[in-house]
Amino acid sequence: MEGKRIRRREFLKWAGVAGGTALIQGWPNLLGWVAHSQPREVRIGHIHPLSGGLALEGNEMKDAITLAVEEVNAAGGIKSLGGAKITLLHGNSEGSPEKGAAEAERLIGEGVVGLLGAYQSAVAFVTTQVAERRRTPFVITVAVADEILRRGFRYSFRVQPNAEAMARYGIEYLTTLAKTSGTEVRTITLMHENSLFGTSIGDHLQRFASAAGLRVLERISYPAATADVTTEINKIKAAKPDVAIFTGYFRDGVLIARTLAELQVDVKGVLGVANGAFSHPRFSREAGPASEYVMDSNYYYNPVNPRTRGVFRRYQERFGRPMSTHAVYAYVATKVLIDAIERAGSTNRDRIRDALAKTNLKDHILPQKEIRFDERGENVNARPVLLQVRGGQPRVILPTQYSELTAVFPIPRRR
Amino acid sequence: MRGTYLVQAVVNGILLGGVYALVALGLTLIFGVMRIVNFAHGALMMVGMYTAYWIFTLWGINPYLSLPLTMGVLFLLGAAIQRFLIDPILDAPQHNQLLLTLGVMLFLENLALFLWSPDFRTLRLPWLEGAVRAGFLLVNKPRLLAFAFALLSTLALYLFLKHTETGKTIRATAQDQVGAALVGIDVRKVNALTFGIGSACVGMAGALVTPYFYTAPQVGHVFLLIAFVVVVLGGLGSFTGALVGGLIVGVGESIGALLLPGSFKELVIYAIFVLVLLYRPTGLFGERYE
Repeated sequence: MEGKRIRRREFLKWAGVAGGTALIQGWPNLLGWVAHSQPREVRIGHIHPLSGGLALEGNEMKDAITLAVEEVNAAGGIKSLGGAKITLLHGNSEGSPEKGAAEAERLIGEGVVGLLGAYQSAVAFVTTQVAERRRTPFVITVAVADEILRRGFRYSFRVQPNAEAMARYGIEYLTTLAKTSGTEVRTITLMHENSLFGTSIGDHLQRFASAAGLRVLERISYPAATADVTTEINKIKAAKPDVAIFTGYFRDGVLIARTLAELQVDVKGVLGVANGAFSHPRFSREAGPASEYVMDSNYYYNPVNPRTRGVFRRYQERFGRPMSTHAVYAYVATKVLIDAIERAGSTNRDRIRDALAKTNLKDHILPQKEIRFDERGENVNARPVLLQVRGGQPRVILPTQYSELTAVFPIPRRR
Repeated sequence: MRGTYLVQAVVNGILLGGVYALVALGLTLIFGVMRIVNFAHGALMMVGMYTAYWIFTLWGINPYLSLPLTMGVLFLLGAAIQRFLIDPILDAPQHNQLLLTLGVMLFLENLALFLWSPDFRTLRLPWLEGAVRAGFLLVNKPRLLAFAFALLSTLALYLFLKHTETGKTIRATAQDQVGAALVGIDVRKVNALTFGIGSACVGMAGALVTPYFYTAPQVGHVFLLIAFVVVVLGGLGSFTGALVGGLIVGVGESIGALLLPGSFKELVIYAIFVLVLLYRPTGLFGERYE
């Protein structure tokens, strides 16, 4: 009995010593384990059309996101996560919603803490839905359709001005321009591509134009992959509007500008609203002299912010081509997402979502005040600017606090 | 006022239709001889566009002068595709051949994407920009040229098939591959020749549209579907059918855009298409074939 008790005491003693030693010796290990739970990498993903008809835009956006990620990694990664580096995973929507949704599923499966996308409203529509279901934050790079954020989603956020803001400001800029130049603008024509993107902007334009007392003489929709727009432009020529308004993508925008010049359509102004071509840096090269004085109300960067120039230079050096506007928004959206991860100090997707909702980013290169989101996830200060092609380059002409040049309006008669 | 725009739309549609006809011509020729539906046709057009584009960009030779070269490149490419890819499976079921040409299309498009990036490129000839004015009509110069070339080459090809020895062997092969082989025609050679000529036609169409259209890896899609409609409308394998079908589709599209609201212009094409299939399933000029 006696021996047994001693043995038990002995056992307890040694067990205590062993345990204590283990605790002391294990301390660094425990520390290491804690440190290890600080991830070495944080994965984020993006979904854009990297092949197919919109591959040009998609790849420009991919490059911009890559640049933003590389900048953050070079500056020491996510500091609140012990300098964790960001790994960017690529998703190719090939321009189709089904493929985009599949890619969103795949990226979430591979452990991304946030997604960026999708350039096309139709694709953003379904990818945000996947993200919502899988409780993954989604920052929209470019996709203007209002309806995307009218579904009560909690995990989706948009930096870019939506279709309604584009149209509202587009008409507002036009009336401002008419007033300041003392030119009468009473009638317009609307021509837009026929997918969700063009149609939703077309609807808003019609509404805001009527509200501003402008008469819409013709409203024409067309398929973006068309072989010819001559007849459509002839219809506009026959209508003789004061200003002709166009919404579409790059290839059709170039075709439209060339056809306008060819058919010698004489209007006081050619105005794009969210036009993929009219404020693209390569527009003049492709459309030639037909591009001069063409205006575009579009999401844009802040040209008078000195930081903008740095970003543009780095993009040009890294990828060998000028940074286009959608690339700028992909860049800023990436910074917004990373800013939220930094403030969340966690890879928990719900915490990142909450941090995104509290975003208040002043340090950005957009022509607006701080980036903040409303309860829908829309950037409350988002606004387009009015640009005009001058000497082959798109220049900001309105609003005045961001403008580089004063507008030429009405445009000189075509000869 | 409305009248002048209608006339303008018809003229424009005819010009557009000429190019559609030229694209469809190659397709119908290949189908007529080998009974192959060539999905790679649009991609071959794209190769033609890039060939013209690069010859112009690198050496400054405009697409009209470089036409023989472009057509030569496309002829060789087409003949090679026939000889090495299609010939071995000519006896396979039709869906296998379909998949093969689809594969060739995807291969060519992705190769172009890889080599030349997805950028939209425009070839600009300043001396050719603008329009010719004829009364109230404004006619785009490169379109007029494209139409003229399309018409001339259709005529040339027709005469070639009708009157030359080689043309006759092609027609004989089209009528009956086995019969042609029996009378000593080298059917494989004729097949390669036909595919080459068909490719050269579409390459020419590609080169001719570069001065007023854009060039990009996926540009073939814009024309491929229309070419199918034209071919079926005109009658599979029929030459006159391709020409008339092209003009009908071009004018239909153009007038549809003028008179109908919204994007109904494509609806017009497909409405004509469905009507023809309903009431004349062999197409306008097609003959019955088994």
